[in-house]
Amino acid sequence: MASVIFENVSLRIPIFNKRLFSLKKNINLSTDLVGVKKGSENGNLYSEILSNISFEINDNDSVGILGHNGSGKTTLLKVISGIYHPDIGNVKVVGRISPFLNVHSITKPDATGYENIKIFWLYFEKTSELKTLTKEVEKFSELGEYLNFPIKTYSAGMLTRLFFAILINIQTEIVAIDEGISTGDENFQKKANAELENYLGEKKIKFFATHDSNFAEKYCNKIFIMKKGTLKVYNNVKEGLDYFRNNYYKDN
Amino acid sequence: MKFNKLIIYLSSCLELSWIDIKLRYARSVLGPLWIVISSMVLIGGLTFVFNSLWGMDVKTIVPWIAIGVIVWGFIRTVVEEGSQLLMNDVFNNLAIKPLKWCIIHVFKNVIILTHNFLVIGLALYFCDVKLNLNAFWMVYGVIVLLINAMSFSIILSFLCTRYRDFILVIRNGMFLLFLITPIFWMPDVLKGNRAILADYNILFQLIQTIRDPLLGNSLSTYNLLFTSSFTLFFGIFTILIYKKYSKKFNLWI
Repeated sequence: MASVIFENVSLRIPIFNKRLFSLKKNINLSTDLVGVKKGSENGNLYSEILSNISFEINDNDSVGILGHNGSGKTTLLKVISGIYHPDIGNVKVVGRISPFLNVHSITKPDATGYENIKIFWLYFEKTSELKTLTKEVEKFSELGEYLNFPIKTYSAGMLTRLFFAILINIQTEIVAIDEGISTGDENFQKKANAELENYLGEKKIKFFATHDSNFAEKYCNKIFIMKKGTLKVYNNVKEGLDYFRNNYYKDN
Repeated sequence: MKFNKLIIYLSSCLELSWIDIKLRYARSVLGPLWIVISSMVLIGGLTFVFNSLWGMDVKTIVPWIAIGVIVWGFIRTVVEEGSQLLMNDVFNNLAIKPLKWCIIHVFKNVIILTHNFLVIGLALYFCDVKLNLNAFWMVYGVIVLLINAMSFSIILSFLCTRYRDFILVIRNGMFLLFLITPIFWMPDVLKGNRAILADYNILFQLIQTIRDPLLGNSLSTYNLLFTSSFTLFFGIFTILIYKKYSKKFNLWI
């Protein structure tokens, strides 16, 4: 059984940059676009990226997270993935979750494709054999001989193939995917989409941060709509999407 | 079962640090031999200066300087690289525990240290230093050094991530410490009050836990008491700090 429960969670990122202290004067400066709350605590400025979020997600839920740029979608996924640990409120996650959203940061440009697979495996994978993972990645990424080359020679599309292949083969019960999979040629895209359905079928809980309401309509049974760090849960997909499509950007 | 898991965890850290070292030297012709060469050059230079300026006997100072400089090199890189260890985008994108990162960092430096033991071996051999049973005290020295390396890298990496000025303080301070600590000079030149540079200097005492046994002396009671109590208290302090900040530090990056 897997579940994700948030109780009144707020995430504040402190700002220590002394030059920005003049910002204190206009503490409620917020634009339509990025509307995070600012404030100060113990003499330090902070920016509240997520404010007072509560929800409960259980087995077989698939959640689409929609919202403007800077509304906190990615940060919410990061909290779910266990990258950020908020001070305020409670986060309870039951079940294994993929520990990353963006895989680029632990890769070594001088290491070969195979070595990078191994690096990933050493960091995260504790449930399967390296050989199995390597084989799956070989099969899925179709990079062939290129896996013996340093990954700095790869194109952006080839890197996506490699990383997506790794991501998809790491075994978890909960999955969080940010902004879909956008690079890769048409052929790979098709395969990725087909595989995605296959792969997602095995997962108990799914979170997608997306701007594509059609995608959310197709894959999700719950909608989170985020605005300036706050969150509203719609258990009815149609209702949520209707609001998002027609009124979201109008009422600010 | 738990012990098994620990072994798997540590071996994956070791393998990651090994990959790091391999990649660092992948494109140089001499590879890790550079570690050995650079220590030899430094030791050679210091010996030359001491021998020609003060006419000190080469056979006494070479082993002293060699062990001192090499263990110091380990401490220095652990501290200096450690201070910027956690300022990495990785922690905002992946759920990696900073502990794993610190262990990898210490292992990397241990691998370099083992390369350098070749230099120490050569120095001892050519200066006719005979190892005796006291050399086993070195096991204690290595354990204490490792625990302290972990503690220092955790504490300093948290401190420097939060307060950036400390990176510069450390960079400047380490050179000063190199000069005022009896690393390449003998502590018996210290008279009166100045003996505190050796007696209360944890860096000197840590170096002695490795140097004394290799030179055939047993560790003094003072050294044992000082290093073990320091390690214990500093270790407990580190655990407390780690528990408090390990989940928060990535908001400071």
